[in-house]
Formats: sequence, structure tokens, C-alpha cells
Amino acid sequence: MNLKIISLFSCVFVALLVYWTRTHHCVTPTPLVAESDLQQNQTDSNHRYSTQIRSQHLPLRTEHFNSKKEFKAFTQEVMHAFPTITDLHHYKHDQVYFTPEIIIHAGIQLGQVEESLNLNPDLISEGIYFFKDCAQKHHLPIQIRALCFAKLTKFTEFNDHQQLHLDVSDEVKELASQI
Amino acid sequence: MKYIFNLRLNPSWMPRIRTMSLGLILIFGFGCADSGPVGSFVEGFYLDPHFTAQQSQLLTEDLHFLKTIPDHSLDSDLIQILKMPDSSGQNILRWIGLRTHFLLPEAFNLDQKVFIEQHNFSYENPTLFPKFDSGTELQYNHSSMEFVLANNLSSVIYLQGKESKNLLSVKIDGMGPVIVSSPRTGMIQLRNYFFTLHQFKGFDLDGLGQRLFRLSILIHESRHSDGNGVSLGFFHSVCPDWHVYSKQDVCDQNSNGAYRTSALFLRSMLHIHQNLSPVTKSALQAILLDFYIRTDLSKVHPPELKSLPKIQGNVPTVNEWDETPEGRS
Repeated sequence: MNLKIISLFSCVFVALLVYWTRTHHCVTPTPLVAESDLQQNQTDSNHRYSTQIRSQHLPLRTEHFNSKKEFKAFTQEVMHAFPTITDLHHYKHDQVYFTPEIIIHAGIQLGQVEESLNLNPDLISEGIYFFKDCAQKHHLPIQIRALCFAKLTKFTEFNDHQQLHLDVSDEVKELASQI
Repeated sequence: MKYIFNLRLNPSWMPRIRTMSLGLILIFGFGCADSGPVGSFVEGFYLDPHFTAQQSQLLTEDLHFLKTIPDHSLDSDLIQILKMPDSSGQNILRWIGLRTHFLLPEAFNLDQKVFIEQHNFSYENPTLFPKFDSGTELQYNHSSMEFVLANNLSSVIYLQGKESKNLLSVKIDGMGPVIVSSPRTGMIQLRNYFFTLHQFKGFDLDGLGQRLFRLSILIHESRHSDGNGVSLGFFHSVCPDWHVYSKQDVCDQNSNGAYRTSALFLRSMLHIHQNLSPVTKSALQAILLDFYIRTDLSKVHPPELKSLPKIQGNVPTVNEWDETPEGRS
């Protein structure tokens, strides 16, 4: 009887030993000297995405605008919410590795302006004014200006486009053509 | 059977034999089972078991989605940068599959999971390393990790091993130790934010928009599995002073870097999926442009110089890095 118990416990002990060995990499683990360095390096090597949460109020509209005045007020609010180049310069590396949220949000807002024009063509002249203004603002990040220029192009004929007397650099136009 | 190895079985031994058998079953039961839960394979990708059910579902659908991309519908620039034999979603899936094998969740912590398999390991191109700009990326701050979306772990671990001349392995639940013998070992960590970034204070990108966004990130990270010697990992460079992201190392000098690859993928998808809502489409266009301005900067000049035709004429048209990976994947 005693032999039976000893035998059983021995087997359980060996089993636990095997289990422990496997969970610790099956062989005696070699301590990784530079593990902390590895973590550091992981960060250094910038395989990261990050984004920025901005606390300020950002306008979002999905419904129709009842008047040009209301639409204009919305576009002014949208313009005011766009980040500036200087704003982006203050972002940390982690916040710009991937497109900052504020840029994606600007894209959403420009899409809402565009959608408003699709739904209500009476607003197109105001919309064109807004997109033109946005494309020409030198303090805005180029990706926002290029997106505005692309939308401006959508709502204007070529001749109108020339008559708009745009102050938009080739760089902005070239970038917009990548869409 | 009365004889085993010429020994006569004594009936009184039977209880002891049964006890020992039980012990052996316990040994093999514990020993053969892995140390944690087992993940699943989707389209050849290993999904770590610690993803939530919803995250696993999204990833599964994302990978299946790639196969639904119609043939002959992709942008020629995308086909060129991915060096694909033809234009099909299946080939994009294959391209990612060559570079990414393990998808790991935020809970995956490298601490106590990296081991030295072999000291003084003989690496390919032992004296050639990527050139890192010293920039803000050298500062490590845990608090900033909250917004991190994805990491290509294996190319960094490979680089670390190469620098220390040790062959390293990473223990992955359900898989055991995976030897990192190439940047293409392909371990991509996806943070929780990767799955939720589409939520913008009251506005959600539609389902397809979210999917394209996630896939563009997966493609970006997969690109970091490429390269050898100085191009190893296709690491980024510091953006020039005139750039909107000046002094941050979030730009690519090459024309086939991670940012341009994902930008071209998004552009192709936007052309194919014209049915996206204008708002979602516009958000993806903003991301596309934001990626694009970080690409191929060796041939881009400051805005004030760029308008000069003489300088533009001297700009090289191709600045590709060799994507051939080091080692054995």
C-alpha cells in the first residue's frame, strides 16, 4: 500500500516537473540579458501607430441644412476645428506614427460638407467658397488642403476652376491627384 | 501475454502497474499539453487565443475579405509595389501571408517570452544594419502606448538578435517557442485601439471603411518584415525640416516603404468600392493623403524649390529598397 502511494506521488511529481519545464521553454531557459533593451528597441524601431485624442469640440453634422446661413455657420466651425501645421508640430512621435485622429476627423468633416452639397445643390456655391478657402490656407496641413482641392475640383468645371484664381501650389495639386 | 521481455508477470504486480500507468498518463497529459490556450488558424495566419471573440471575428472577416477583391481591379502602382504576378485579392493575401504569420493581441507581453536559442549565431550580412536617425523615437514612454495600434515585433526582435549575435525565440501561447531567424517570422501585435479607432465622437466609419483601414495597417506592418542589411525592416526616417511631421521619424526615403504601400492599397480600394458613404470615403482619403506625404522623400524637395523645373528634372524616378529578407523564415 505504501509503495503504491509513493509510486503515485512520484509520478505526479514527475508530471508536475515536466509541466513546469514545458512552461519554461522545455529547456533550462537562458536569461535574456538585453530584454529591457529589446523592449526599448521595440519602441525605438518605431513600428507603432498612434493617434491623437483632441479634447476640443468638433462639429459633426449628418442632417440637411435648412438655410445657406446655417450651412455657412457649419463650415466656419469646421474650418476653425482643422488643425494647423503648428498644432501637428507639437504632437509626439507616437501621436503621428499613424494618421493623427484630428486629420481623420478633418476628412470626415470634409465628407460631410461634400454630402451636404450632394443633397442640396443650392449650397454648392457656398461649398465651393469653403473648399477654395481651405485649399488656399497655407497654415493648414497639406493633406487637408489637398483633400479640399480634390473636392473643389469635383464641384467645379474646368473653366470655372481657372476663373477661381486659385492660389494653390503644384504640390497641393499633385498630392490631390493621388486620390 | 504471460511474458514480457522474458519476465513472468506476477499477478500481485498488477496494482503497481496500474498506478504507474496512471502516473505515465499524468506525465504525458501534463507534458504534452501546451502551457496555455491554443489559438486558431485563419487563412494560414495564427490568431493568438487572447484576442476577444469580437476581435478574432473581425480579423477573420478582414482576411476573408481580401479574397473577395475582384481580379484585374487593382491599381497598377499597387501591383508594381507589391511585385505581384497579377491583379487579384488572393495575391494580396499571399503577399501579407509571406510577411505575417502570427497575429498577437495587446495582452501579449514580450517580458519573459523572449529567449536565447543559440549564442554566437552566424547572421547573414553580419556587418550591415539599418541606419537609424536619432530622433524622438529613442524616448520610450509607457503612457503613450495607449494609442499605439500595431507593432511588427519580429523584425525588431530579429534585429536585436543580430546586434547581440544571439538567435532569439519568442514563446507564443498555443505554438510554443518560435525561432526568429528572419524578419519575416512575421509577428504582428495589434492593440485594442486597432479595432476601435474608427469611432470618432459620434461618428463611426461604416463597416467596409473600418475593414479597409485595418487592412491598410496590416499591410503597412507586413512591409516591415522585408529587407536585408541596410534595408532590413524597412524602417522609417526622420522627416525633413519643412515637412508637416518635421523631426519625427515617420517618413520613408524609399518609394516602396510601408507608408506608400498602404497608401496605394487604400487608393486601390477606394477606386473599387465606390459605394462607400461620402463621409467614410473622405476619411479614408485623408488617411491616404497623410500616408502619401510621408513617402519617397528622397526625391521630394522643399516646396519653394519644388517648382523649379531644373531640380525636378534631376529627381530620380525609382528609389526602391531591396525587399529580399535576411535569414530563413
